[in-house]
Amino acid sequence: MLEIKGIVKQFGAFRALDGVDMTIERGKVTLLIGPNGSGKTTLINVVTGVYKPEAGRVYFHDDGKTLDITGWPPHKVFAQGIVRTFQIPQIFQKLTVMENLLAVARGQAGEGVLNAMREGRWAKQEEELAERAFEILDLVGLGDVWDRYAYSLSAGQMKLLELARALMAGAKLIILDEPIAGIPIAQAHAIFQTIRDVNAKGVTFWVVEHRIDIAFKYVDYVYAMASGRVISQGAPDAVAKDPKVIESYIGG
Amino acid sequence: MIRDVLAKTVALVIALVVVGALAFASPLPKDVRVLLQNIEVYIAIYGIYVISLNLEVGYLGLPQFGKVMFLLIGAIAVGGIATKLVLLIYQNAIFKAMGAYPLAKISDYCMYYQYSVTSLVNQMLAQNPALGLGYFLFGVALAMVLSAGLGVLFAYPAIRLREDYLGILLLVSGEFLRVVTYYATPVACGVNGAVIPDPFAWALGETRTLVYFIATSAFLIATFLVFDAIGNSPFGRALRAIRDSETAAAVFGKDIVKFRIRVLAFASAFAGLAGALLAYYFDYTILGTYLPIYTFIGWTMLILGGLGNNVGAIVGVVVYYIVQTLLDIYKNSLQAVLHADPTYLAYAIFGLAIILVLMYRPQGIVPEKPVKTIDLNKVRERIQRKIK
Repeated sequence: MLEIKGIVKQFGAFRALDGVDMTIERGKVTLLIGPNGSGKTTLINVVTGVYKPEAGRVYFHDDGKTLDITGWPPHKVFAQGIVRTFQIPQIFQKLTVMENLLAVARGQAGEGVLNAMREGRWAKQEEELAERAFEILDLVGLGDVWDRYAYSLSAGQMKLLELARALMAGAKLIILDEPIAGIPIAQAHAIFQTIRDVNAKGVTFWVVEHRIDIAFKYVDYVYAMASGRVISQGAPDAVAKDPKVIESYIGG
Repeated sequence: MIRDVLAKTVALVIALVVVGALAFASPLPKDVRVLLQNIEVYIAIYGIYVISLNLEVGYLGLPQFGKVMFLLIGAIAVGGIATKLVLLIYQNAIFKAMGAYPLAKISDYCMYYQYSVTSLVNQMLAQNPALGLGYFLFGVALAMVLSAGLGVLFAYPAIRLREDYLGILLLVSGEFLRVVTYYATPVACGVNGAVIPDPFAWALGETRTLVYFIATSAFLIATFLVFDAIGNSPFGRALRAIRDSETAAAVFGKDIVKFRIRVLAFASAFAGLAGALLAYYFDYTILGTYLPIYTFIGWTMLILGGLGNNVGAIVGVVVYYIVQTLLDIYKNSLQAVLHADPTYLAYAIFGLAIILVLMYRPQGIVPEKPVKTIDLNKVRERIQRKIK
């Protein structure tokens, strides 16, 4: 579904990504691991258009077509059906939890300035979106705080809101940047179970996560990065035993 | 929800009728009524100005430091363009009376005989209220169109950049336009200032003020209705999402540049409307006076009243004018106490007020409310019933 070829990203003299190749298979849950500073989040930023790479291409395969989405602005990447969360939650602070979800829904008729004044054009769509949003909030366990301002949530709840927002956006590929960092173990398992449930409905996932003890139980394929390069890939068991991976974590 | 917006609008209409009755048809002493009449017209005009600023600053988080530019463009549309159109229409009559075509030598017109020409034009307009109204509406519409276009044009070079760059560019643009148009005599008579024919010349004295009060109030009501309706829609919500996190909003499909352009065009048009009304009411304009301070007076009103809330925007304007008027009234007694000229006291007081508000009540007098699109509680109940 997503094909990353030879991506290079440079910040001044520092080469954050040094020729990264990666393939995210359709319908699978792919995990990306690696020590701090290995370039995981930078890679996501390149794919979603937040950063532009110095070299390399990003291809998106969908509907039998291949699109070169390298360097596209974020809103166009989104339009193709790619959605992401942020490692440090980038929620809409002064919106309520519910509004955070409604704001990201796709194809809203009421977002044009002239349509905005004509409630009849969007009220029905808004009702449907609100229903879906309530279902998603109940699914991730934020149903009781739907009308609270987002800034008043706990750090863990903000993480859940990030996940809920990604689900709300109706994506084909969801990229999660550390979805369970700082979340208690039982809830972390529940989150990965939710990921699997949504995945079963046909949504592809690409997850960055440090807590491999939990994550490895739920994913199909694993990439490991260190110092801006892919150092290992394969099934979870194989990567877990790869001495290069172990060394990068201990040495890094 | 349009029902909520309409309820607020009706409350605004009632408030305007009450204060209007107080100022125009009450047993209050004449000088108090005249004072009230004046303040009310200003409040209506600045209400439009600050509501439009609220869409940019309160909703989108756009650092609109060039807001005064649109009062200026409104003044140019009225004093520079619509005025000349009226002079053209009456040029034969003017020629007959004064022996010269007004626009033949603009510098002479500006320096020597614009006052006498305008009083002649006003006499003729008084006989022709329909033309007066047409001239009024033309000036207003022109101000809106020009402001929308120029607002986007001036912001365009920095529209893709971070907010601070955009803010600086807008600030500089306002000053640029002010200085250039001020020293270009043909625009609006430059340093002489342009005398503006009165579109409601048929109305005299208090009736004239009443006509302006009704006209500006009608525009304020319309502005409030429009801005509160779009504020309480998916559009308004998208603006706030962009304000809170530009990166997240972009990643979730919002085209930031497009939203900025829409908001700038829309808000600038209404600020231009305020500028046109101000120029007509004043019946004189001097472009050099449109200093950046009027941008920041708008910000002051908005911060005091409540960023992100259209009701707050109006409340901020009202509070500002109450304080300002009290200071004006008690100027002399203050001078005796202070042993200094209290002219600048207003700036000091509002400066202090902003600091105190930002420290202790950053949400302002009327805080921001969540965007109200539909009744979410109802949807919630329906879903919970479905689960059971």
